Amino acid sequence: MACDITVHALTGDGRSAAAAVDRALSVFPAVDAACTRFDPDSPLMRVNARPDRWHRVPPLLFRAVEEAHRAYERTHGRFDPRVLRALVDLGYDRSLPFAGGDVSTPGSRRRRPSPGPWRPRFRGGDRPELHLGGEPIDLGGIGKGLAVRWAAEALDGHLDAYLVDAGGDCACRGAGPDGHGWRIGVEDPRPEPGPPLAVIEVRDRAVATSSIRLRRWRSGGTAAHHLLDPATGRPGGTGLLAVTVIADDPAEAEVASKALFLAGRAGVAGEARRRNAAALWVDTDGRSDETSRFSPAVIWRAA
Amino acid sequence: MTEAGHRRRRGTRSSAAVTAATVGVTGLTLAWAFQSSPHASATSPGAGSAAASQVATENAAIAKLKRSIATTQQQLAAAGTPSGSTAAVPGQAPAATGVAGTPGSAGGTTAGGSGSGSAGASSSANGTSGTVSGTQTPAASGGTAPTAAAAPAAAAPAATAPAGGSAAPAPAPTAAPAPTPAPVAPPATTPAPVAPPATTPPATTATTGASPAKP
Repeated sequence: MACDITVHALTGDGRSAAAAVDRALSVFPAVDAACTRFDPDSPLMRVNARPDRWHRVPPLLFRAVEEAHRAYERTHGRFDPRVLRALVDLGYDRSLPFAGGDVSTPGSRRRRPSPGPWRPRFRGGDRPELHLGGEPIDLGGIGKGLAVRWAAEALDGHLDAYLVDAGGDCACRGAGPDGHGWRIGVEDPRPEPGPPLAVIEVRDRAVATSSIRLRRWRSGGTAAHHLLDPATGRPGGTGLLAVTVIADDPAEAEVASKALFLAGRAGVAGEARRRNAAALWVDTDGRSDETSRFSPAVIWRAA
Repeated sequence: MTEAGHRRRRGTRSSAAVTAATVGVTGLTLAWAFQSSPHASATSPGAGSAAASQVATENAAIAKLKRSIATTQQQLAAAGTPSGSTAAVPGQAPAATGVAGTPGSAGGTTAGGSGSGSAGASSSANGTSGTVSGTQTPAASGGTAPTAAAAPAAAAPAATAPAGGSAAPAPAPTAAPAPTPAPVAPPATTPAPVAPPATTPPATTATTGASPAKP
């Protein structure tokens, strides 16, 4: 979760809000510690090291994998965290300096599609155990969405209105600062973004974007990005730069934005209709489009 | 999920716009900020008196508006105008929609569309603080509401303008000309203000997009 995390809280009682915000913020390092793939000693990576056996795991990791599996089933496999090996093949096996641009990795051009249906197994209870089903997983995107969800749950009941923002994954509750809703800019995903493409106003909703503006590099001389198609093990979403989704839940929005992105320019509109999603997407020509469920949230558009 | 190293450090605190605290974990910046607003604090535990004050203010404004309507109706009756043809008279429509509205809820969105005419007063009377006085004063005093109500429409994004904005000019053609011009409520003749296309985006609290990688 290498991003800024901000909680905006609207309240007249700063002291009780501060305690709630502290609890909410504590969710992020906890999820990060349990679910990061960039620390070989993390619980996730210990499980990933032997994905073919049972492991006792922290409850947060257990819940995160459960949620990832639900998302896998809900998207019929378009979201599949088993892309980790393919990511590593592309050279994204460590923190890459994307902020500096011009990242190159040796990489490989092999195709590594996800191997058949994903059937992890779970033993819940006080000491939960997990069996990944044989393949290591990456919980990067959904982990962030889940952290935002759980942070929001820590604020519910303590704050009348808040916005939790983790690098663009947002959970909004109640009215925003002006009483109408929370205003969120939708980033222009082109390489040198200017003003936002649009501004949306939401309340009691979540927003997430899957974008390849930053996490892109050259792998073995070929352009690559981090949103991999499980069907091929290669970067997916041909013809798209970004997809933004408004949903009830931040993890749901995160998963939906990724699944729609992977449909590519040719399939995103149909996929969004099938899912009845509130989605906006931008293609590689800079053109944007959206579903009718997204439009009511838009209060401003770039000319 | 953290791409940077896992050295952790104690948080540092600093102040920003209102109150902000930053708890730093290497590669993961946590921050929070409180903001105060009349709308939000109206529903918070410690702000009951402020809310009550606002409600009282707006109730007074509504009562004033209703008195103005009653006066206008009397004047129209004296002039022989049928009561069913007074929709274009500023102060008449506001009462009808204002009563039906929910304080503080729909008012927030309809205020932007209250670009002209009497509909503007109704939106504002529903609890959108800040526009109540601007829109009601002209109506109560017999002035033309359109110009007073235009301010929020101009500031509002085009997406929200049509609903309320279109309502205002519509009644004008249906208004039956009174044999004797109503002294306090002339028909609106000013064209409905149209919100100019805004070239700069409104202020936002957050941005959704590519998650910036922290070093």
